[in-house]
Amino acid sequence: MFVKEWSEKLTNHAKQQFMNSSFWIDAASHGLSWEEAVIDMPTVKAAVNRMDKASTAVLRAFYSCFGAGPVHEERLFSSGALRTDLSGAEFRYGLIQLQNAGILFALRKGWGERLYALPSDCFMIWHHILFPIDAEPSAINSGYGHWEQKQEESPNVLLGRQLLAAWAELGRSGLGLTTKGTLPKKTAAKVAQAIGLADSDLLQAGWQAEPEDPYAPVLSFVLKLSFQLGVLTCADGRLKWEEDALAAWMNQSEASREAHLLRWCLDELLTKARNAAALLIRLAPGVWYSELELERQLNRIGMETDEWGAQSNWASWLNLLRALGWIELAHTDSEKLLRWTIRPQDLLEKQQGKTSFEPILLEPNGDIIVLPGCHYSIRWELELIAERKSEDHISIWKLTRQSIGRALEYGRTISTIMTFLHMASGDAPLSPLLESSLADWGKQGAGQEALLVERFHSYPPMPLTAQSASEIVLKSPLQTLEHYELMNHEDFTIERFLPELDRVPLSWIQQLRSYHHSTRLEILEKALSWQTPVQLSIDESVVAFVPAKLERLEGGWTVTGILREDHSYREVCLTPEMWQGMKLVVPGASGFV
Amino acid sequence: MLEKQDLPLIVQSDMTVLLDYEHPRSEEARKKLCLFAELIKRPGNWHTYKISSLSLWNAASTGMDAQIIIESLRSYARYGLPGVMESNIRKLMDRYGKLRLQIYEDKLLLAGEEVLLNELAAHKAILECLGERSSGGAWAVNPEYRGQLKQELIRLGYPVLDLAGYHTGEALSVALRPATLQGKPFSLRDYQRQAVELFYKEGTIQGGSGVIVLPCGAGKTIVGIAALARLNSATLILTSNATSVQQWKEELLDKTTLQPSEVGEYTGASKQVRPVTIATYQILTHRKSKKDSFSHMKLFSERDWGLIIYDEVHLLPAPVFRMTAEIQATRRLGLTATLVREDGCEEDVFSLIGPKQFELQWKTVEAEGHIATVKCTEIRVPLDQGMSELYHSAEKRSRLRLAAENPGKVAVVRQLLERHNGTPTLIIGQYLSQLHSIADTLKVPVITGELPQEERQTLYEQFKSGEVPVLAVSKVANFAVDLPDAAVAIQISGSYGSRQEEAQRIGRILRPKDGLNEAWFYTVVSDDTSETDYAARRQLFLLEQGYQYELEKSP
Repeated sequence: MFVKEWSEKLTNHAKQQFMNSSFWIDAASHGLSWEEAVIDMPTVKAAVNRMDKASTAVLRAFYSCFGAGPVHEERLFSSGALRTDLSGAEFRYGLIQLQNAGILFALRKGWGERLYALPSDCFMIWHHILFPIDAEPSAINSGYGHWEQKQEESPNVLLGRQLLAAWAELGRSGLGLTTKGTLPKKTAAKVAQAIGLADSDLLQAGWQAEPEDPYAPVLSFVLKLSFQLGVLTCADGRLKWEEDALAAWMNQSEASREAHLLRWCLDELLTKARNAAALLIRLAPGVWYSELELERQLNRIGMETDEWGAQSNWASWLNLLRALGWIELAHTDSEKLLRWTIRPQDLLEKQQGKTSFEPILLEPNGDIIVLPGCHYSIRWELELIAERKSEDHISIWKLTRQSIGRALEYGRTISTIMTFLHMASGDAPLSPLLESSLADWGKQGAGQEALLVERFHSYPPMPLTAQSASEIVLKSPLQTLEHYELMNHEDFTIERFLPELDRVPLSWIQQLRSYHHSTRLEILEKALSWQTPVQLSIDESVVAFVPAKLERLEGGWTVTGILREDHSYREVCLTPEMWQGMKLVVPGASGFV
Repeated sequence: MLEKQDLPLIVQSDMTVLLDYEHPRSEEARKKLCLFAELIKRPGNWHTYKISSLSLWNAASTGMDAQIIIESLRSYARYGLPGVMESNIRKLMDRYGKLRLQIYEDKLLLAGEEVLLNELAAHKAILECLGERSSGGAWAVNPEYRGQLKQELIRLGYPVLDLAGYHTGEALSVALRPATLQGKPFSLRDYQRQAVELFYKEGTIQGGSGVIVLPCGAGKTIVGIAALARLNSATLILTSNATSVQQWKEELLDKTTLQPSEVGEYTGASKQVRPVTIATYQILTHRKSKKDSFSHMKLFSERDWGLIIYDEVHLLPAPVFRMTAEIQATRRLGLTATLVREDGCEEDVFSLIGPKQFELQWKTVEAEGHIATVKCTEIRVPLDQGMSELYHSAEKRSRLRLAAENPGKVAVVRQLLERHNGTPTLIIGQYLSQLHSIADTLKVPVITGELPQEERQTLYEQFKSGEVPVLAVSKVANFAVDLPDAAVAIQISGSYGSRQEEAQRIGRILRPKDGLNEAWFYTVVSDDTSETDYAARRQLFLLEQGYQYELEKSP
């Protein structure tokens, strides 16, 4: 789920309390709400700087092992805690701190099952701060070395444009459903064909449609995305355009739109490779990187290399990003290369509402040149009134007798087409020949009135002005969490996880003292049951020790555990006479962590 | 999206490049781009160029390398370079110069990297052309296979540097005249001189074969004649039709020291083989039946030609290519207005005639005043009621002709003649009956294929002198007639949407004019008929070359 969806599940009281966390002091001083703070890069950076060691360690471990989650509590403590140097109680303490700041959330799934997760749109932003990288661009950027790009390594057109083409085909083919509630086969085939993405691109990357989904994978994917973008709904046995949502989607800048789609797709498609994905999106756009370099970076920041190690998967994921139009691939004799064709960082930054769009260019031969910054409402209309000849950085459409004939059948008139062309081109004059051709082509019959109206609704013209569009709302593809109960963070205190804390003598946790060997044993037993460290004074220095095992021997006992020294942690076996004073550490309540 | 830079080029993945002609830096970008890309169309402010293997190898032949090309593109590319474009440029440029045909110890050898030679020799078609392998790894080549080998290698994607040189051929003393026979001062224009020098390359083995691309009216014939005079050797000139043969002959005699006895015509009517011989492709490819051989191909070996000029090289027929493959030791000059061939044989032109040595854009020549500025107008004439009924009741295939022969066009032509009274005008039509009818009505002479060549020449002369100010001509005027000083062309009917024909017809009025250097091209079509669609299709080529059409409606 995205922040927006978490926010809907949270009470205002909870959100206000999150902002009382010491982590958010800077955010609170700037008057930011929780929703704003958790996805604002500078604020997140300040929050991470203010975090205690345990919270940072827990968060890093969570990211490394489980991405944005969800993960069962048992697994979090068994696998996640192993990734840190923290004791169990310290890990719990860090986790509670993060819950109290609204960074990680606990959810109840059924009886007794507890899961942890975080807003998936936070993941990439926080990853950036938690795991700094220094990826070196490939030498080929400077013209060194021989490299090659095969056709199958070059990128498709951007997903946004692929979607638009699919929707245009849907609009032209009609929105009616069969009695089984599915698109007619012919329509389904045409829409799937309009997309550059192939079934194999999705399947090889492990994407699966819902069980019993009747369509080819590509079409399922497009429809799922369309529903979650809110541009399509299903009612009364047919699909229906949600014109406000469609207008809002079209009204975004291309960069902003692709950033939204990238975020959604990373959630939908790269759940098993989130860290690799997070690393990927931090690479500089338009610069070639070697896959080996990325592997080095992943190792450097201590990521699970399993996700990387699955070579075939990795290749499939990269291919999928290529098929979605966002990266291009290449190779040398010895390594594979990749390069972003978009600015993935847009996903991490707040998108400024861009309202200026490039006008179309009308050529006297009927060609229409469409630059990358063209408003999507214009592309939408062109898909009806003209024939798309090519799609690349620049797309070229051509006005023809046939395309104008089709537009007339969908309720357009030569007058509305002329008005559209004038508006879309920024009032550029039409060449007299083209104008005359349009008038000629307009003499074709438009068909029956009733059919005209139906088709008009199937392919409605979209507004060209920014003001008419409402805000885009993108739902996360991972909706399963919606069904789980969000647990109250106030129920999680460290005391709850340290049984009989109130029965322990205060001096045990407040003072560094010398005790009798039997008391030392008692204190260590308590530390073991709480999974907390003890502080030991050994030869005038104070160190932390995390007990792992007590062994009784004839006439005494030994304790084995991790001794934390200045720059190293080592496993040691101690006997009670080996230290002088000791203290039980309650994370967050006494001593240090 | 990657950030947009304020630059004039948009480089596409399909190897096309769009130039924003309105951008302040467009001219500097254009100058670099045209060194390694072909202009495909320029209908408005966005000009489309295509980078192909041939355009790159043409660039390589002038000394450019991949890095220069990539840097040129990168420094003007608004959205950067797609990887596939950069990769393809490197791959293709890397192939240029990898293979060489050269003479060593009097033997013709194919030399190059051993791995590549091995790879290529595995192809049967290549192996057929190869002899023994030398100790140095190069393959001996039978000189007869020199052309065929180049063709086969280029089909496999590998150009060959042909450094095997040429034989000088029979010597011929010829020079350009400082003044024409008619007494007008004559000298080469700068671009013509440059084109000849780039072809000749000081007589080295690096020069001597290649193609010069000049727009109609820019003096391709003069370039050919100057090349002939530069080489001073017997020359065979191949051109597209008999009228063009005449024109070449006249120009040769008018502008060089050649005597009539030194210039021969080799056509259907005459079979003279002289130190300079002008022949048509048609006669070379003539044979009695499909089973017979091309008996006139012997012309290639009837004299020791030092140069062969292929006029309108984009029309060169396949049998002539085959013959050309066998005479690769002779210097070859191709002349054309476009490298684009309808039959896709551009590679054969590259391998058998040679790389592009020089090109000048149509509009550049116009801007410099070397050809006239043409104003194109389409005039739409309604069908009268009777014709309209007839048109709509006619079968589809008959409709175009009815529309084309709309009698209402006569009045428009009359008005145009009045508008341009005193200006030499051609009325060009497809249908003889229509031409005769209009000529009778307007009292102008007609030139059609029916008219004997001599009578045609007489009329051309009268037209040239101004004695006959208006001529009606059929499609015989499409090719290389080069009627002098026609300033107005009125097209009353044409072939179905033939863009080539439209270009040829406008070519008739491109010669520079005195005064404002203007010319007018009118297309008269019937309104509300399919003729307007065909006209639109015909206009595409010129629109894409940067010409604009105005529209007038006749009441």
